[in-house]
Amino acid sequence: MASSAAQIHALGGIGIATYSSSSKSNLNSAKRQAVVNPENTFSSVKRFIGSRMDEVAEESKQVSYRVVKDENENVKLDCPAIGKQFAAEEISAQVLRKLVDDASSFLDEKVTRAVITVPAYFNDSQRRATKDAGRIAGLDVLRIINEPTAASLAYGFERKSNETILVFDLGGGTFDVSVLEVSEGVFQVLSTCGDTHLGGDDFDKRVVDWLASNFKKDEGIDLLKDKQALQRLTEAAEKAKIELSSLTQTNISLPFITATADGPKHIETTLTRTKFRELCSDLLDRCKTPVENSLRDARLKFKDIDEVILVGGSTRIPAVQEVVRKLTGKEPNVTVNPDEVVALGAAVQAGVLAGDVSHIVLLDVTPLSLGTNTVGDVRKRCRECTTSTRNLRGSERAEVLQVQRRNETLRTDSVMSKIIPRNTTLPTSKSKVFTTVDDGQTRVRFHVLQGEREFARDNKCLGSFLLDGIPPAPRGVPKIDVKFDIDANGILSATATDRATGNKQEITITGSTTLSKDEVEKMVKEAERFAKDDKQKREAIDTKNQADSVVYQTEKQLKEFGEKIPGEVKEKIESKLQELEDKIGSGSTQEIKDSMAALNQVMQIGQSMCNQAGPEAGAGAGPSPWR
Amino acid sequence: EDEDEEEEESYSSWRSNFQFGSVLSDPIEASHRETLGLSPWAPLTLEDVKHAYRACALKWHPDHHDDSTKAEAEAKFKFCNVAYESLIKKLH
Repeated sequence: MASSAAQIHALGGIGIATYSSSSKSNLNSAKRQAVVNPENTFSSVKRFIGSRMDEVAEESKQVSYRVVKDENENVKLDCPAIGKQFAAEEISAQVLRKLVDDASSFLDEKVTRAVITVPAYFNDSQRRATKDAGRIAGLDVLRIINEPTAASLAYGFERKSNETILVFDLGGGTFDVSVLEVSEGVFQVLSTCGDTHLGGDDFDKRVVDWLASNFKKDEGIDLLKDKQALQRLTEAAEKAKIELSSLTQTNISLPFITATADGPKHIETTLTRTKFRELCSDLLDRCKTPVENSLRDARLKFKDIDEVILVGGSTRIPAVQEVVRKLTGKEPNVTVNPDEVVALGAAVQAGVLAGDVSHIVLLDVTPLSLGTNTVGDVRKRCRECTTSTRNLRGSERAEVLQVQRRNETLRTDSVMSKIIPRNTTLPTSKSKVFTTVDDGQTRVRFHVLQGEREFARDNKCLGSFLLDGIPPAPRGVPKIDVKFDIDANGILSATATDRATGNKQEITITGSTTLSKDEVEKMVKEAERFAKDDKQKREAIDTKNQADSVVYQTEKQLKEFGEKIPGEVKEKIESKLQELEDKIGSGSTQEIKDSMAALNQVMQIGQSMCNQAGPEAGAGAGPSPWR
Repeated sequence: EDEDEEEEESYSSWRSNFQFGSVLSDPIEASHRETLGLSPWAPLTLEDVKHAYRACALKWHPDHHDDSTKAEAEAKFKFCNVAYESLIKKLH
């Protein structure tokens, strides 16, 4: 157990926060690559994972690579270099694989299980897609946990006191706020709120737009249309943003950004902290609403909060800290490293799951409401129908009895009836009673919806199932129990039972909505094969290098000791050496290994002869003193 | 919406008919107290409910159980959640 725990710990320790940013050196080399080869370098993949094209229309315009949709309207990332379209899951899997490899080599043990974190406000589809990415990378994903919750685990792990904390997590692409009560080892999430489309990248974009619009005004050239220039602008903008966290103004210098008939053009300008704040003022405003909403949902006032913890690199921006300070009236806690705290928290949770940590427990919530579709406009018409359910027992009468259309597809006027409200502690089971809307209706299709919007269509549809064989009856008479269940692993299942017949239909939502089970299977295999290919390639290179050095060493030794060994042995060595040299040029890895072994054998004969010959040769050179 | 209110109203009037001023008269509350291990007689305080719920969470949360007891613990913990939510609502 201890070693497996160590494995998960390690991955938790690294695998976390943003799988868009792996190790620093990797990130930097990727950034260099991005300037040279923008169409084939993927970044901010987290913004696309588990999403449909219509949900990320804005984001897709802001990246240097081409985002396309497949026949199911799901997002795919185009890689023209190899003429392939990747799912965001596959790119994430590559990053995860790299992290796992690094962790494995650091620990000198194979890492197979992982706790992965996601933004708290990720919907079910995005979470499942992240899990799929883990599977494609060959990992057993033990748990997906929320980033702000993970941060609170790391923060409160060693603390004994009872505290109510607010975690303000502004990362590269997403924004989360969570309110927690930490007491007696129980980390209880009271509420969570966020914006999955707000982060540091948006702040960069503001600076890019500002630079580009100034350039257009001065030179009449639109740099945003030039992918390579755009990439350089983005890089400079990010650098300026980071510098403005410690300086009050910074220079932006981009020589040879483009060229016209008149010659090369440059950008040379100064950005002040004040100007930067002005450019980003609406983004800063957008940070306020989730904070207020999360407090309202937790039924707390700002004065009830003991600590405000800042998480995510973007909270280093002074203007962001200013917003938090003004809003909460508290000096934010900056004792934790905003880049690492989430990973540490995931490691703590991994310890809990491995059974190594028993004195703490994390009670997380579902960030978005779950429910099903009911007919909105005819509810009034059917109100008289519900009178027939008056004979229900008292506790059941408290349930809202709702009507269900027989239509297969979601109607535009369908409304969402919540079954599990947002911020419900997991695991949970909740149910509601539904009935039919038409006389003699025998079938009902339930759509499993996630979101806070009034109309069913505006929420994320996670799946649907059909309950058939309801005995024909006047509308409003059949009673159908619909039960939603989320287990500790976040697996959602929905069951509908017709009380009259006991007929039951259920759906367990396991795969993401963007990839089918078969697709994931295929990607797992493909990734395994690539991993195997990569391993073989590496082995081939290693063997060749080794063989080269053997050849060098042999030649050197032959030169030094060649005279001391019998001619026939020397010939043998020379022929084997030649053989090895040939194999290095054209042979397979195995052949190279074989001829290396053969050479080694004759070399050993040569060496032993050389050792025997050594003293004799010495003896022959002159009279021995004791002879 | 007024439909819901009407339902809610009839339910609470049904409940108040059976209230004699003692907490024991509410069988639902009594059962919720029992789930969390709270005394049926003591006055209900936010602190006590929270403390009892935390103890239950440490004991019954499925993360602290292996496969042999996980399902049972999960079911038990779900009851604790329901009890806690209901009692907290009463105190707010």
